[in-house]
Amino acid sequence: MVLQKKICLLGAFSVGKTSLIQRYVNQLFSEKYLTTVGVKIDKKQVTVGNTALSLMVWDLAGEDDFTQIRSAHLRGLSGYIVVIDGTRQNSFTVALALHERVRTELGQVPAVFALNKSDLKDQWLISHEQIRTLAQLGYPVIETSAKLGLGVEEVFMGLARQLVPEKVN
Amino acid sequence: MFSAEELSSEASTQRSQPINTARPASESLESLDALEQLRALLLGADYEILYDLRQQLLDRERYSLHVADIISEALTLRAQQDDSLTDALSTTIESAVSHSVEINPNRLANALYPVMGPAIRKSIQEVLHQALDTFNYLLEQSLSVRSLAWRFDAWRTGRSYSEVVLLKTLVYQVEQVFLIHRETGLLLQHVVSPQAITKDPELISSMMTAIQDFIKDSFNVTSDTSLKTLQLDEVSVLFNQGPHAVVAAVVRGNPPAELNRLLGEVNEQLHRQFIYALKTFQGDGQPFKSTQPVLERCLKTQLRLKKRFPWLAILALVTLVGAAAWWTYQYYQQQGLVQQALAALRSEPGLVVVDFQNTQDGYQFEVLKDPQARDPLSVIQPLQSLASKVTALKVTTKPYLAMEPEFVLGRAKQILQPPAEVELELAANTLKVTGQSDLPWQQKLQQSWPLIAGIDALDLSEFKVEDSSAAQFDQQLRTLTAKIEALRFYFSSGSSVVSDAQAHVKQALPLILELLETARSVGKMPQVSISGATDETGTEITNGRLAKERALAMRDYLLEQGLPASVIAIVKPDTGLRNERSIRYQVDLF
Ligand SMILES: Nc1nc2c(ncn2[C@@H]2O[C@H](COP(=O)(O)OP(=O)(O)OP(=O)(O)O)[C@@H](O)[C@H]2O)c(=O)[nH]1
Ligand SMILES: [Mg+2]
Repeated sequence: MVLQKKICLLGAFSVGKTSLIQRYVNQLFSEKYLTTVGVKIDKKQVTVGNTALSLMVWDLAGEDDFTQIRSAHLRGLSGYIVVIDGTRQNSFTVALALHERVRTELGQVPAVFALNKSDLKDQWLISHEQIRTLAQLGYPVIETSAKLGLGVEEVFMGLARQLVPEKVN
Repeated sequence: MFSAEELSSEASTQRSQPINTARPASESLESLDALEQLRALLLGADYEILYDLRQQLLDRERYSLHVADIISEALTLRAQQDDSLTDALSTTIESAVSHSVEINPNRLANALYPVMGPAIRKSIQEVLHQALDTFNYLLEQSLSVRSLAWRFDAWRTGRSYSEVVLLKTLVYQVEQVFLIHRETGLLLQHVVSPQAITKDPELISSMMTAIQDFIKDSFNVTSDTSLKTLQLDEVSVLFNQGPHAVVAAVVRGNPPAELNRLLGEVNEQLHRQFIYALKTFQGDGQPFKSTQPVLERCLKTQLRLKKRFPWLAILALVTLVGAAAWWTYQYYQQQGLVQQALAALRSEPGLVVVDFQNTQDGYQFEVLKDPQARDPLSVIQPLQSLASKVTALKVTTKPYLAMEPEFVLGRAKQILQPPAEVELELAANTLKVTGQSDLPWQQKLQQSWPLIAGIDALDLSEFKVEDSSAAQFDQQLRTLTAKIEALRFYFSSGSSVVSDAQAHVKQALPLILELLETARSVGKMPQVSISGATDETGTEITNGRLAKERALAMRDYLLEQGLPASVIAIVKPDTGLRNERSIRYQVDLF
């Protein structure tokens, strides 16, 4: 049995959503920044326990002052990954706001927080305090680097594990 | 349906019973009664009716009775409103039917029997029809002038031939149909037409949904409208939005308006049938496997070609069938002929068919032939006229000796050449010879019979050898003797001169010569004696001398005429007393 699941990557612009997916699905990374317009969808097959999952990964355009994530795209998602760029304070605020928005629109849904660009940790502006607040929300918080491929697998698998119904495993 | 009167009358008869039984036999009887009265006062007849209705609902039997009254009307009514009844009942009916088949397959088989024949015929007809059409289409495609032009086009434009054919002949073709879960954009089911190529339908399904959402969001359209068509050059995508699922068809060419209607119908049907699965969808596509046949209804193709009578295919088929029939006919003809020839040869005595086979120049029979038997070619002669049309019949023969009694007997007759008086019979390898024969044949028999194949013994109990020639000669000699002894020659009175004797000699000489020859051939020696006689005139002495002179005169005359002297050795005196002037002969054989 293959379970299909729709998952979304959310976060401020340029935090590395596309890069994380690219790394996860195609094992590639590019320094070049091409902002995502609208949506880009990728597929990745994973296995959790004895359940095969077909993840439809929706890469949404990042939020900024001009672009708002569209509710329509969030509809029917089974889980989401909120990406934060450790080098940008603003991305933390946006992440929390987005998380809140999904919770009010869709209720309690599996989620994972990704603290991206861990390879640039010396430039990180996000404080330990902030990270602790994040952890208290009750979702996995994982440091990632799309550039080096660190924590990427863990982020996606962390979400996938939450997507499989308890009784199956 | 039941009327109000029915209801109330029934209510009044039924009413008292439950109240009586329900009433507890205690001291509060009176107060209960009072309460009852109060209730009756307040609610009046309504109470009774309501109470009775309640009882009806609780009493299974009565409730069933009422439902039974209206159930068929209810079903009819609902069936007119929508198709949900069909969907609701189909599972039950399906399992009822399979249950019935499990218990007793015959019943259903009997019930279906009258419709099965026509149904099967129809479907076979349909399949044949389609096959014929396809076949014809292929033939036309590969043979027609137009197809050559298209090949040239393909070569000129660098496209593949099939692409050119499609472009030139296609009005439209539905290449893929997606059934998409509306909320999540996940793929529920996907069907593809045989020729089309598809890439990751799951991804396409999500992407199409994203595009939908994107457009809807971007242009602030009202929520109940949605994207109907996407158009890219030759390919367009038609969407039909349902509350829970989207049917999307990828079409090459110009889709007709009916296609939209068809998508709508299909989507409605799927919503009815799968409403529960659609509402509870959690990513498991399994329950939607059975939507495939419904979706396949949408995989339509329309070619620009006008439908023509499939003469090419018919021609090809007829030729094929004709050739097959001719071949079969020939085969059976040949088999029949060979069997007839075999039967004829086998029933012919003295012929044994050892082998037969089909060779390049006809059917070859290898036959063992007894020298006595008929020529095998003449045996199969009556079949030759047929053979000239079918296949040549040839015979090679090898000699052999048949051991059947008639052949052994025939062989014996041929070798022994029995004379007319002899009969040959064969019994248990013994040759029985009946009758009589002369010595030479008997000798031949004795020498030859051991050499005749099939004869082990000789039965001569009814056979005797007779030297028939001796008897014959005896007879001949007797005849000659009689003839000779009857001869007379007369003299003139007192004379012993033989005169005018030519006639006598002419008679006597050949007879005597024949006698001589015949007697010699049986190893005997004849002696012809001549004796003379006189009349009674004259003395006895002269008469005696005259008789002797007459005999001698005739002897001399005959010797003169060429009679060998050895034959007439003795001249006997005539002992008989006869009164005649003559001589006569007497024959003796030694
Ligand atoms: N050093 C470093 N750079 C990263 C990492 N991840 C992404 N980047 C860079 O960050 C920039 C933005 O990355 P994207 O993946 O396009 O960001 P995004 O979130 O998809 O942006 P939008 O599509 O505009 O919302 C690119 O130049 C990437 O090379 C990382 O882990 N480390
Ligand atoms: Mg992006």
